[in-house]
Amino acid sequence: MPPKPLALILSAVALAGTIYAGVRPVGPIPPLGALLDPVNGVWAAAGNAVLPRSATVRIPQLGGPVEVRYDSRGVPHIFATTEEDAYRALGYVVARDRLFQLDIQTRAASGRLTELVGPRALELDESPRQLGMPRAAERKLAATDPSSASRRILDAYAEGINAYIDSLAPSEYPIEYKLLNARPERWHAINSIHLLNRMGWTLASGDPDHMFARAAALVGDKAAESVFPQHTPIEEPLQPEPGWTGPRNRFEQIAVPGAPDSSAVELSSLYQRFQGDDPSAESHTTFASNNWAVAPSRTKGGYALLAGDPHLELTLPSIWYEVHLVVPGKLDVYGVTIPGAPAVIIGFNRDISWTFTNTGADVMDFYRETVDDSANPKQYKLDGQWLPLITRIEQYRDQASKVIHTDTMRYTHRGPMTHEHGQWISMRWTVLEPSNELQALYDASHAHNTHEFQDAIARNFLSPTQNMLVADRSGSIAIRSTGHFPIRPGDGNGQTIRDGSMSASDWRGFWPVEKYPQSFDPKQGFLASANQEPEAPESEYGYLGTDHDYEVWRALRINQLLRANAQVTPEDMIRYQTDPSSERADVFVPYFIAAARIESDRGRGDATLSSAAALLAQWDRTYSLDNQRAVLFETAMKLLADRTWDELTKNGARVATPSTAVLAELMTQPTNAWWDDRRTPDTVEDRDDILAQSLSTAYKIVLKTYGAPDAGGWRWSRIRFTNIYHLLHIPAFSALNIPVPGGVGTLTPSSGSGHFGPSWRMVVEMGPEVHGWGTFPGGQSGNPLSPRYKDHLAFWEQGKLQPLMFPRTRAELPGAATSATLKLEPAR
Amino acid sequence: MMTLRFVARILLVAVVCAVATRWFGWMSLPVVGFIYGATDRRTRVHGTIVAFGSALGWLAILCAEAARGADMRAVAEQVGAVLQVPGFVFALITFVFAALLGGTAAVLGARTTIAMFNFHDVQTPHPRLGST
Repeated sequence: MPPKPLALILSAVALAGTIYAGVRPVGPIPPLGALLDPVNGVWAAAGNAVLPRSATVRIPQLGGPVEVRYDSRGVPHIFATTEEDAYRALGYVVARDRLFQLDIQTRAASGRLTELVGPRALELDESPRQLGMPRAAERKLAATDPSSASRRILDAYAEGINAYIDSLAPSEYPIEYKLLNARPERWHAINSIHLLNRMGWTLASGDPDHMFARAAALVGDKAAESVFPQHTPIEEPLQPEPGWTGPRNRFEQIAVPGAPDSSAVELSSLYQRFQGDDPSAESHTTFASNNWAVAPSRTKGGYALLAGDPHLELTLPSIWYEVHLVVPGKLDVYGVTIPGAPAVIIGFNRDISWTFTNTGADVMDFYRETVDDSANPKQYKLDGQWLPLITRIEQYRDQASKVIHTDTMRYTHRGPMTHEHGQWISMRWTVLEPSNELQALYDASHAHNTHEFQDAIARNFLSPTQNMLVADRSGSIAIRSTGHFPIRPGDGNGQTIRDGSMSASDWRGFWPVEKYPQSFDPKQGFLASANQEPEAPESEYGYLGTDHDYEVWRALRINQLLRANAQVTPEDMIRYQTDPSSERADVFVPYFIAAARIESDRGRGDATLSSAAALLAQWDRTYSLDNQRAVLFETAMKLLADRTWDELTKNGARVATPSTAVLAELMTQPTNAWWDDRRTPDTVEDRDDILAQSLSTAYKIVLKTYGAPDAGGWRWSRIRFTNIYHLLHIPAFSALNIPVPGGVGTLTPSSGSGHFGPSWRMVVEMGPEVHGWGTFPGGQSGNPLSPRYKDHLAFWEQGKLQPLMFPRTRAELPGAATSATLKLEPAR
Repeated sequence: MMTLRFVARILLVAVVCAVATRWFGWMSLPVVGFIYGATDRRTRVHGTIVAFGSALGWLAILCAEAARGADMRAVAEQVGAVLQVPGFVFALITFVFAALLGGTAAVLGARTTIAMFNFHDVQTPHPRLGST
């Protein structure tokens, strides 16, 4: 047969095309060769889905043998002979289960996502760098004493992670790397600092000033101050106040909308840059946490009880990873760690249990700087002297390490400086300042009683400010809002941009620890925090923040539950965590029903309004899954906010939303001008007009959207869902549309987006033997193909907690309770 | 008899492809295919043999992993969902990719050899067509 040139050419072209698809990405599809390779590609992920029943590995830096026993829930119990080895092993096992999470969280925190996913992540990377976070992490690490315990465990943890990474064959890379055509990066100690800074950003960047500024730009300072007050109108502080037996209303006359304040316009746009949030979104009211503790005098068992329930963005894998570290005679601590942080963040040891909620204090301020050259400044003026600006070039690289973008960052002694509306504005933020939260958590894990714990935390846990709750085995309970609360000059208020040319504008220091909101062993026999204002205004040492970051409804409910029960059991504590009742509904529902009657008396009622009021009156004011009335109330509340705060609308969108506590305050002023709907210039509406209109319209909307009231469409389980996305937002690796009980302001709040919620539920009984229960929405493994990827989710959905195994020795965790064993040995 | 030889060749190629992939990765398939096409002078269906052999070799690897407890179905379904195709389509894509890599390289190997050395084509008949 003669040669066939056409066949030759065609086969060459076909082969070239196939190889091209094998080595080059085509659109969003990664190179097929590495992806489909049955040995090293995505198929190999199935082979790594389950930990081997038994394994032995050698780690170069290990001082002695370490045994890790995974219990039936996949929790590693690490038995080591030194603390460094325990944290080395922790690094290893966290990497083994959550390597991709470790990597992507750190890259996100340090502004290096482009190196993993390319230029599409540039905008995400710019935020942390423009906030000065990578520089802050470098400075924090440099300031760490190399001989300190925190630095030793930081390094040991990094060695453990790297030992795992170094042991990996490409076939063992987590599946996400294969989909991204990437490989894991070796771990550096600074990554842990990046991660903790990121938590600071999440929890302490909610500067309340921006809402006030936006409101002032539309209705003037006086009205803005009224609807964004410094102190919340309904008080149920976490620090029990002498003589208080319940919440107090601090209602004042709300100033009516006035003329816009033009200077606030500039301020509000500045804040937008640093905050970037959605002012009409619910996230801040659902991005919350609860904790409470009950003294032995009010528990059935006679032992202190503690409940922890931090609410955060829910992801798969979860932000939390359960672990138990045992070093005989030195350390015995169980709890959750964040992958990347060498510490048990929330948990218990043999003597104490602890948890925390976010304080939400105002710890971020801005300064208008005077510079030598507005286009390219090199100096800034302070007290008449020109001082050099520190400059830093931020380089953004792609997957091939090619520089794709650069930013020049400038720093004053206060912090990073940016150019906004022709002005140079610098920022001071406690998150960027020297601190050593790892040392605080290390010391806390060794504490033996509430005082030791609070002292350890107060020494080094400076940011983000947290409401640290602790209970011990002697029956003591204590809470303290801990961290750096700035002392500002003048009136001390943080809701302004100060003159940066004077050192007199600078912070004068921080609150002394004895002035922190706190309580040790209160007479009432319980303590509770739910992100409410920590103490009553008359007790506050200075400006802490504003009402807007302190929603009070959950605090009201948990205090009500705890006051009503003097025989609390662990089962009660677990049940309270998913309590579906709403104090918010208790306040507002009667107003809606009364408004319908009043409108009817005025001759303005109709059948729709009457029906809506009758349906609302049937509601038991809970958000249980089978409830069929909550949807009407929530729709009415949304419309009520739209109609009431119409003065805070710009270009068709609301730019600031006062708290519902302020709305409750406004309810007591039925003819206040805020009730008037500006869209109806010929009519002056009062409270009951607006309430009735909102309820009536809500009924029509709900009927149209969900059908007849009792046909099943109104069931809360069909309305509100939790959506737990994979870190890369891959739907196939996510858990979506999970019906959950709870609504806005309930103890288990749910948001419209469903991305936020209870991230770790824990209850601990501090008896002679410590007993713990817990769960989180996910599982221990980060491998989407693993049976442990989301095996806790079913418990979490049902509000059930699982008993936590807390063995003192390996012998107390017998083979039957052990799902896998890992032996770590020093390299020969 | 011809069919048996044909099947035997496929099996042999499958074994070689599986081993080569395990040791050298997916890029070994075109190499195996090219060498096979260039050296086996007793067939004119190099492409078909290597295409089937490559796909079969990869299938054998996946079956071996499944036999060790790996849930390959879950991989197919999950990754298929990521790529927005059904799980079996993702599996099919995998095998077609292997077949294309090996098969096209085999044809190229055969044709290149013929073109360069002016070999006469093949003595072995196509199994389905019988003897020539």
